[in-house]
Amino acid sequence: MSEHPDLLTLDAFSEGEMTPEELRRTEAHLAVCPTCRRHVLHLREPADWFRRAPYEMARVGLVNQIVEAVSEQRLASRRARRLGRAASAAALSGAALLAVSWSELGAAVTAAGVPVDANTWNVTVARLLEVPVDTATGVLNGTLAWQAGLAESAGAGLVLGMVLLTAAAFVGLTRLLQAGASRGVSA
Amino acid sequence: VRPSDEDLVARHLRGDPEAFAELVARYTSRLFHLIYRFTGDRALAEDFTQESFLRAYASLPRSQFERPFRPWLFQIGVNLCRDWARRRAHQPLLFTDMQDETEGNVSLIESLPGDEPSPMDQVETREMAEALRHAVGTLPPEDRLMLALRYDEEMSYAEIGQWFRLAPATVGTHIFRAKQRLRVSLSRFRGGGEG
Repeated sequence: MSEHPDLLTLDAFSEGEMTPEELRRTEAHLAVCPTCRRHVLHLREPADWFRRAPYEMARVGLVNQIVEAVSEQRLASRRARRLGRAASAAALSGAALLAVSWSELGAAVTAAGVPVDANTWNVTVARLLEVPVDTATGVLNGTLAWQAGLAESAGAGLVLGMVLLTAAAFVGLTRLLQAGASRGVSA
Repeated sequence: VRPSDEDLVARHLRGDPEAFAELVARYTSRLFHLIYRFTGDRALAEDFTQESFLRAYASLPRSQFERPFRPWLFQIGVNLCRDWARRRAHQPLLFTDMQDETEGNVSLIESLPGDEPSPMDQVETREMAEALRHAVGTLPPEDRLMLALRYDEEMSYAEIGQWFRLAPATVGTHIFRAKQRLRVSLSRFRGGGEG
């Protein structure tokens, strides 16, 4: 009789996980070895026990619950896509407004005869609001700091909102400047 | 005619909302069962089952989908289980290569009984379910998962090895050890009558 295969080999035989050559050798041994045949029977038992072990069945409503969750996810992703498209469109519009109003503002400042130096904006705002330059500088610096703080702590949506607000503010400012320039010219 | 998984995936990717629902209906029970085998916790198994489908749903449009759906879905579930186990244990675990470890488990490997009766031979039919439930429940989670993949899902050593990046022979050693532990656990439940 050939040497007994080890238990891992017999287990691989019982599981059908052998190469053809291993299978041929092991079958040849088992044909003449009742001890190893008994081992193989023992090795097969736990698999059978495991299959027979009772287990928890899924709750009846689980399928519907998952289908609903998937539907919600589908709707949420659609909403997110729509929101993304809207945000992109708004950002583009904001950028366009900003560009237009920036150029309009420059033209208005030139027309108003405001000297262009480091304090141009502060002086211009002070004139328009009829307040001291220091006050206008404080207001502008505070507003910029507030915007920067929000942009750091808030998400893209808020930043986008700030862009739009800024664009609108520029447009309004431009109109005021244009009105001021007209008054200056007529005066 | 029952559509194949691949047909359903293709229909889903073309925008058919019913197709994915059919995949959910087809695999919820099996996936829940597999995850429950590992976690032993019904609520957690439900959560992981749902999360597996949600992740699959989110990933499908981005996937170059050439793999069969079921193993892919189940692997998502198994990965959730492994992440959960890792968080619980605060250390890497599960299914490391056993080549060296095997050397230290010779006693377990050699623990096969000779002519003693099987543990189940001495269990009354009415007690059998409880004995098996308890014996399986006391196995380490990774053993239960290996056995579930092998005997519930009927995966080959090579298929299981692909999931866990193990050689098929190493998977065989894991499963062998898990079965031996099941035998020991069952014997202990019966009062150690076997050995």
